[in-house]
Amino acid sequence: MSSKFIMYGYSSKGEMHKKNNLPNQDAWFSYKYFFGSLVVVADGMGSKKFSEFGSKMACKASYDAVNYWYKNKSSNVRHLLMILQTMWTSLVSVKYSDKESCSTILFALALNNGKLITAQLGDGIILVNRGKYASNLSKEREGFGNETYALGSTWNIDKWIINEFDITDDIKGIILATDGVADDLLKDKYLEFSEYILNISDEFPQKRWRILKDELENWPTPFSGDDKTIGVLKFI
Amino acid sequence: MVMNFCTQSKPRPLPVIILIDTSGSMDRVISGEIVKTGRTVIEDGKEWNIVKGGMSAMMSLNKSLSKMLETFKDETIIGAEIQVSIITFGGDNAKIHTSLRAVKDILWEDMTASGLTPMGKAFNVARKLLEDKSKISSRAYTPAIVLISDGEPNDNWKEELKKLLNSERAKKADRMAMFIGDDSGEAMLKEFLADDSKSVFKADDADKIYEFFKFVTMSVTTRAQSRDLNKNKEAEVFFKRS
Repeated sequence: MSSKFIMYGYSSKGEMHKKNNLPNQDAWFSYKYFFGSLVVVADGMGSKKFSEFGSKMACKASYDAVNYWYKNKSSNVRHLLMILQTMWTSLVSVKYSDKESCSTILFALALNNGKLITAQLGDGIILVNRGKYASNLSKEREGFGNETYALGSTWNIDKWIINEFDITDDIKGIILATDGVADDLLKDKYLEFSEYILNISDEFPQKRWRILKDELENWPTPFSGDDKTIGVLKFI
Repeated sequence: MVMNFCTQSKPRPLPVIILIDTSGSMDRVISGEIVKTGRTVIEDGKEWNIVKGGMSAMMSLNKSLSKMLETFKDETIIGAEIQVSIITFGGDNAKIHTSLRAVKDILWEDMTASGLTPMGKAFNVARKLLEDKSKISSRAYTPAIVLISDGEPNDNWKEELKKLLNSERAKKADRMAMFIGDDSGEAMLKEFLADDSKSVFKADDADKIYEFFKFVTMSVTTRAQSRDLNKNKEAEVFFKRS
């Protein structure tokens, strides 16, 4: 079992926001606590006025909530999500309405005790690379590409997709991506995609950043206008 | 950049499904000078005078629709590719005049009018298309459905409309409707919209038909350019602008 992690990621403003002179509404964040490591990606819902703020606060709320949850010795993930939702609402409400700051959120928390937690509210994808195959921990969309749950749209913990498992040697890493990336990925290429993203960890941090930046800013799917964000937790 | 191997090679689609009444009554002249021939014909359950000259509703639709498709082709849209399917209903059946495909791949063929108004069958074809994930994937933006008719459907349209409006995927489509004529038959098109905040566009001449297609063009391209893809739904499941 590995308890050493490398975390990296990148968020790229999509063509649509560049054209309309709007900010990148995605955000990502990583943090190494003394008890584990956290990676978060969030996608502010563009139809909402302050979604850029909402996605940043989703990252901040995740950081605060994990800290609070661990210090209070809880091991119930549903408690963590309730704390996170409450903290996110408090953070955004200082400036704006939560309904105007909606954001999806995906995070992976690897604890030093060998437990791994992933959780997702809304669209995007969480992939686990297990060497020989990659598992998609997210659900297939039921409706259309512009529908999603989000922080600010629901308080129902049942709308989250939660996974808890042991960190075993076959797990090479976790990749989180917002829908700008996720919706354009070929389903039969998840393994190859995750291998490529995880192999970037062999590079120096500056080069990792450069490679992800180049890939996301020159995304091959034609007319792809979404913001694009990837967050990685690589086990070493 | 090496991600080509694992990413979609086609843009995210924005489907537009257009249901067009091609019953005999759509051959009625709506604009221009006419000369009566003195002959009559029974079509779509009514007696009609046969005339020379003028522009019929069908001719106007052909002109306006082909113009709209050309406009879609000329639009450079970031974030989406407009795909169009045209379903016509006239005579005994509804049929797919243009299968769902990228607008750049559509070669326009004029529609012709004849027979009765089997609108329910058109709703059925549209619902099946919207429910078919192999044709409209969950990656696609929420589709738009446009209904154009001069009313008076002759089949079980109410039952098929109910199925359309209750279908988990089909009910989410953004609906627009145009009534052609000066009768009060647009009430059933209002039922199709099923939204008090929306109104049926009424057209009684060629200019108004053209105007409606301009409205559809603007609505679709604006949605595709993502300023506000879905502002009319505030349910627990939110709709995103990308």
